[in-house]
Amino acid sequence: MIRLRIFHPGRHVWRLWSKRSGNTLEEIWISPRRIPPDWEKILASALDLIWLENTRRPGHIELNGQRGFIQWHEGQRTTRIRLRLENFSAKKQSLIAAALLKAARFHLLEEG
Amino acid sequence: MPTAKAKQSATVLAPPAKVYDFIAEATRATAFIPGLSRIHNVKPATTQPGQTWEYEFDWFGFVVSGNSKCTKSEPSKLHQFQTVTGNPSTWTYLIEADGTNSRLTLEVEYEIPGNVLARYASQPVFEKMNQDRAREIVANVKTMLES
Repeated sequence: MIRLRIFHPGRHVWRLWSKRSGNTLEEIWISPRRIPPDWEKILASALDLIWLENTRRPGHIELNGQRGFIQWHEGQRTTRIRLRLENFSAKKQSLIAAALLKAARFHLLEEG
Repeated sequence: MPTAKAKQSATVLAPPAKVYDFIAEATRATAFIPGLSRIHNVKPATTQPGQTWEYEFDWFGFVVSGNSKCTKSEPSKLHQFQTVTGNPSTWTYLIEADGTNSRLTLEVEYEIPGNVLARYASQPVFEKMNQDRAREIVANVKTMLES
């Protein structure tokens, strides 16, 4: 089946900003929403799926081994998500960021 | 309908069991297949012949969705599935031991749809796109497991 993306039930999550510096990739995403989804469950399970050990805290997931973090801040109508990846190859950083963005848009849609 | 095959290989610095475990989990494919946005409704949860799932591809603002079915799976050696709706294709990952590492080969056999051929003007261009896609998938698995 083929349909237009705008009619897809996925979450709206857009990459606002991205910067690569040395061995670090930083991105900021924004997601307009009415009810915040369980970002911790969505993003941590995406990290688990690609075998990246992580430590979960409220509003924050730390990648073990000083490999970066994901933070999210809930505003009134939007969530702002900040991703920082370090000490991976540039290509792996891009793949991890893409996998997390896909998860933010589509993972666990059935629950939210 | 004419068929074509895309085949790409790479050495992955990881043992065959690890490579197999990485590629055989259906939902993990979104992490290394470009454009694959979502895998869901995986039944049963464990990898085995007969396992089915639904997939969604992002394609220039369109969502292409369909169903897949695992047809063969041998731990540390082989994982194969077919897309059973949409454009039929058979995806085979072959894993061979290469010392303590692995030689990973992805072979995708697919039907060439007439409407896509019209869009891209020629069969060689369409086939090159699929060869490039296969090369990227194998390279992505290597990156995810090595670096």
